[in-house]
Amino acid sequence: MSTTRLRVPNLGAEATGGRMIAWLRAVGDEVAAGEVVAELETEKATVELEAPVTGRIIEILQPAGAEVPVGETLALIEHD
Amino acid sequence: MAVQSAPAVEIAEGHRSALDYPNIRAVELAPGQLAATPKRTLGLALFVVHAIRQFERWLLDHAELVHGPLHSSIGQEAVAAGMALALERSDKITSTHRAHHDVLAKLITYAAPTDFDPSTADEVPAPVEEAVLRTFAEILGLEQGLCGGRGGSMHLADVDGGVMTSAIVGGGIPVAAGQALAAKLRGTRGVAVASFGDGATSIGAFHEAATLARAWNLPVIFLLENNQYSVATTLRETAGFEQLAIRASGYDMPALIVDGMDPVAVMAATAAAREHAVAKGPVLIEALTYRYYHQNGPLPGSAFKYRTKDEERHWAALDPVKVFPARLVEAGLFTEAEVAHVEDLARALVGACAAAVTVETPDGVRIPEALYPSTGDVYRGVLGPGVGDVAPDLLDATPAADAVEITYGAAVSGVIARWLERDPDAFVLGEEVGHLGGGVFGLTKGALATTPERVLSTPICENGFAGAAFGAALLGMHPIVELMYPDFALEATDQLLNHIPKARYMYGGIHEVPLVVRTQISRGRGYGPQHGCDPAILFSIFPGWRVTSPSTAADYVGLFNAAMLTRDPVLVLDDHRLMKTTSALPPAGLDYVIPPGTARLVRAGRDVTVIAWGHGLQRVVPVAERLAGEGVSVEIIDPRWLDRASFDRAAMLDSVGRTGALVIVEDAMHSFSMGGQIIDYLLPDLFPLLRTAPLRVTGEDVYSPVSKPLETYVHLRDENIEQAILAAAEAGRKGRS
Repeated sequence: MSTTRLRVPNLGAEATGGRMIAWLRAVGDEVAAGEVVAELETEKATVELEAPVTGRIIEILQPAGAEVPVGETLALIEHD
Repeated sequence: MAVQSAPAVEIAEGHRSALDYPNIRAVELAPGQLAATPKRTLGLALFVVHAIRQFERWLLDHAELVHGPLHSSIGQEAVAAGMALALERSDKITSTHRAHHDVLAKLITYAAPTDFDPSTADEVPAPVEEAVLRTFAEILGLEQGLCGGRGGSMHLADVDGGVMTSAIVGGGIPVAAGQALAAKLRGTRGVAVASFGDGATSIGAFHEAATLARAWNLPVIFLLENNQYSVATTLRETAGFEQLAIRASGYDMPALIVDGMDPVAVMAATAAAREHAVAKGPVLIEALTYRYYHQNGPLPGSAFKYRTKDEERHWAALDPVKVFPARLVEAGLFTEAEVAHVEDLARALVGACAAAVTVETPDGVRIPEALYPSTGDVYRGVLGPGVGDVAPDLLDATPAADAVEITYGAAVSGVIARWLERDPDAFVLGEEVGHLGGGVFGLTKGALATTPERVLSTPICENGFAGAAFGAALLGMHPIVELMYPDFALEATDQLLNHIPKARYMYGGIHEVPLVVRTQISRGRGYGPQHGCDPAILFSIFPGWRVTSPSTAADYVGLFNAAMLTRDPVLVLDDHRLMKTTSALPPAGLDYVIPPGTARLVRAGRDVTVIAWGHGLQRVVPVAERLAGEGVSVEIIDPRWLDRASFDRAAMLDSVGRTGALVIVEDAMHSFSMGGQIIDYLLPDLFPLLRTAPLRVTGEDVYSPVSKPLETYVHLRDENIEQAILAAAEAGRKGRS
């Protein structure tokens, strides 16, 4: 098993970070690559965060409400 | 009185469908048209589509390496691929802030050897890789980029490859009209494509270029990439209707509506448009497409809530990267292995570009510092080197013993005619220049007598024809633009100030912009506040313009010739009050040259230096003569060139070093005065030479009023000149004793 980080993606010139508004999946949930697992809000946009790999969420590091910069690790996903 | 009965005049019901207009057709591919297309062409189309997608994807994924916004063209690849594949290598395109797809498609098809067939090739040919790498490097701001990193993503140019982009919405459209004009004047049977978005159909540049192209039946294809949004604003909001091809109807111009997600359909539309453009005149193509991401950056538009995810899914299902190869396989034209090979080739191409300019580090992908341009070279290419080598006899300013005096007006007309006669790339364009026996001021009289075919009377569209002149100049034509009145430059500020002076620099200092704008200062004619400016200052504050304001007939000849020889943008001012003045031409006659940086000592003196030119000089000389009788010795210098780069700083400092006093005299209203600029040019060396504060004599600081006594009062007044000279000379003398 290995672990992949879900990070705050590059948000372009629009923003250097944002605020976590919701987790749609919880620790222990199985997720598929590309599945929307959380939402983040910038000043202008609402960004859907997709699971980078198929696996299981083993830890959520930034709860809803947290201010997070681009590149910040939000969750860990365990997979084959 | 209210009209009680039903109106006798009926208003026709609006809101027709585009296809109800007789000039508009929808492009439908005939059955078998795909199969009839050469396999190499289809392979190239697929390769270009994939190359654009891979290129854009890499940049979005590495946006931290891009300084500035990334307006991704993802979703619009098929428009560019289809367009470029229907063009000849020598055809030109202009595009926009969202132009990576257009630039790549044009440069790949330009660079591709005739035997390059992506479905069989083992590797991407070196010229193709070079062209893509130079585009890639430019977007990253690197020295090896197309423009040396000066232009970046939104300002890309490769004149040989036939691409030029502008970051200003609509900015490239008149430029394409000018490139088409160049093709027409040179008889090349080439076309120019103006690629632009739906948002650009709102701006004047589009309408002016369309007017010009239709009036002159120029070989232009107006390629409207309708991706349906101006940033987040919909067509309903910007146009009131959605089928933008209808815009063509107002110009009596044919239009085609085509599926912009299908490269073969776009190719068919472009091929038909190209044929029509060369034979008859402009065509508009509306390609219906969609940008998959927001205006810039990696987020979808739906993240910003101006459109829905459902709408995005609808367009994602039409993705040319998936649909086009599937169609090729389904039609039995390509095998699965072949389409996969083409995609791999495109991926390898972008991978090679990335490998050429980046390194993998433990902290991620980085660009080696050595690849960035040197700050020591930051001024490269603002202007060209000047007039180049000029034969010494052309520089000789001494009038011949038997020289005949000619009027200033004859000098203007004569030297323009001389250029049209000696340079087949030279032409004049402006309002009325081909009518009235030589334009409204008679200054194209000579040219009309000898080369009327290159004296082009324009529609009333300064931004359109200034942009067209710029486009032609980028291709090495040598336009002479006449602005009927100086203030009309304000109609064309986008082209005259935001494009022309910046082009040489922002495109890397590689491409010359040999273009002259001439106009007549018309103060004192009762034309009032909207015709009465002296525009020297306006152009002078934009580096990249040279500005000259000749004071005599002989100087007009010499300065106009230099303006043309520099192959830089040059503003040449004349003044109606000078037109009847006369002077003798030097031995070189109409070929006399006065290079930038060459001031003229008009009158030697000891007590005060007066800098004056144009009408102001004419006014100073008699005042100085009169004061000589009162024992005041005035030195007068005409700088001839007024922009910072061309200004003869040494001559001015030398004179002030001897007199210790400086007066700058000009007729412009005070806020439009060059005097403050000139003092700035001379700093920091000026002040230690002065024994008294420098003085400026200008017009009053109001726009020219119409009432004659008022206008006369607000312009340069002799008593003000005299007072300033006396004050400076007296203070100077006191300082000396």
